[in-house]
Amino acid sequence: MVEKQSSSAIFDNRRMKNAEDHILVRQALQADPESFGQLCRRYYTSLVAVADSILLDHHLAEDAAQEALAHACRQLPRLRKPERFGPWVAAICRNVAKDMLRERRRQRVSPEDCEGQDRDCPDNGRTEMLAEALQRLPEHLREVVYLRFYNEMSYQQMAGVLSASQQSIDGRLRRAKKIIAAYLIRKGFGR
Amino acid sequence: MSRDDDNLWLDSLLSQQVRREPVEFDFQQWKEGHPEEARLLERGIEQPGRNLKTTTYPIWRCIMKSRVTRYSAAAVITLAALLVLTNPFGTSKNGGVALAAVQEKVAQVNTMIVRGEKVFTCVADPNVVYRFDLVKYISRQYGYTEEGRIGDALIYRITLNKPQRQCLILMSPWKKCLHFPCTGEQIAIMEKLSPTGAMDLLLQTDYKKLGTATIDGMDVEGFEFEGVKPVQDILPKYLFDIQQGRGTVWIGTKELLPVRIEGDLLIGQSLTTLLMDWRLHEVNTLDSYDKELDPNLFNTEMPQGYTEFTFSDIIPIKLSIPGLG
Repeated sequence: MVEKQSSSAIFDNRRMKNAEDHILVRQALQADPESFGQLCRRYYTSLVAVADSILLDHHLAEDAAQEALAHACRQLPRLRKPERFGPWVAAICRNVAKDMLRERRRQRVSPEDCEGQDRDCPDNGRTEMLAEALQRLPEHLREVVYLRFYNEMSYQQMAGVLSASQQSIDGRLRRAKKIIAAYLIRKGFGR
Repeated sequence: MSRDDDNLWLDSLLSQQVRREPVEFDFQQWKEGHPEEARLLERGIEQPGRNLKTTTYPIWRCIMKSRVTRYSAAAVITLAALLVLTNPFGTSKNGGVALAAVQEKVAQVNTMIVRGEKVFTCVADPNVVYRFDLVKYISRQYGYTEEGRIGDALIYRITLNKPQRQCLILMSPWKKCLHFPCTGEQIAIMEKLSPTGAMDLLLQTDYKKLGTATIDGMDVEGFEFEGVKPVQDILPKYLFDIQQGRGTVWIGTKELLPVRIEGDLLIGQSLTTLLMDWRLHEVNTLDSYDKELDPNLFNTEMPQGYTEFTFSDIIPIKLSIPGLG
């Protein structure tokens, strides 16, 4: 399950990414918009995955990620550790997505009513069962599943926004899959 | 690392369920959708207290025309004359870069050209901001020259000629200058404030490793330091009062030279700042080193058309007293 890359290599890569983030943040603060653009490109996919794990809607998740980046831009001078931009912007994104979810609930729109969810697959029962299993997961575990399977993200990319070690991420992922598997088996999945 | 409870059979199902088409971020489109943020980015957002309504003094003409502005601008220029940002060097423990080797390498460099910017913000009025584009010429043989520009306009030039022991501070918008001889001690102080001299001073500074990165294709290792104790006692507080400071330095792992230095200082009221508190943010990047420099860059003769700077050039009209300055 864990990539073949050694843990020290992952740590080094992560340190390098953190150091690059540090530079990009400082440059963005000094009237260099393209540096902020690079930060956005670096984390956008992860942010969409984080938001999607909360909103369960891909298009809304993209809106949430874009809004989170706008918040981050305005709050950038308050970021005390520029090398921690990833986890910081991910936390902003979680809050934006939760606000959107509350707003959507207030308007009583169910996730199924939203466009963009492709649920017309031939294996409908299984897909819905799996979707249900995912929805029942605690938020922090669902987020790990989304990050991992959204766009085949590496542990390194995940660590960039989760502020957690690869062992911890691996543990969360295993716990999530155990819960999903138990739910599916209980519901007679695949029978 | 595979275990029985990994439930690997779920992977493909989850992948099908969760997987999306790759999303790409279009920065241009984002900027169009968030014009306020785009403006903020264009203008620079480094001061926490600044908002979109904050104004700066963007053009040198303001400095030239207003006596009030002259006062603060003169403080900034005088201050700039005393400031060269310091670097956090110490003995290496287990980093990729051996700092002692960097210290040695820097000590061997004969010339450096450093570029960057200095941003002074007045503590009493954060709307008063001076942003200078910098170029520094440092020569072991000839001395030190620093130029500060706003746009294309040269605002100040500070030159220390080492062989002649002369210092010249040009204030270009007003065609004014300060010209004075330097003692050996003053030259030593200036050297302590140069990147080379800072090496020794900062041996005493605590630092934190930031890891490695790439800057302009160069592999670098970063260090962050906080506290400026070693430079606080260089000059008496009534002349120059550095109250707080922090910064980062990025050292080329092959070049063994600092390639980028950033720092923030809080400078308290002193004679040099004309009794104003200032915050300084400075960024320096190494342009080149051991390049032959024209000795004329360190010329300290007063240029034609310039006159000596006096206090009456900056004090507000209502306060000017006949016979003063």
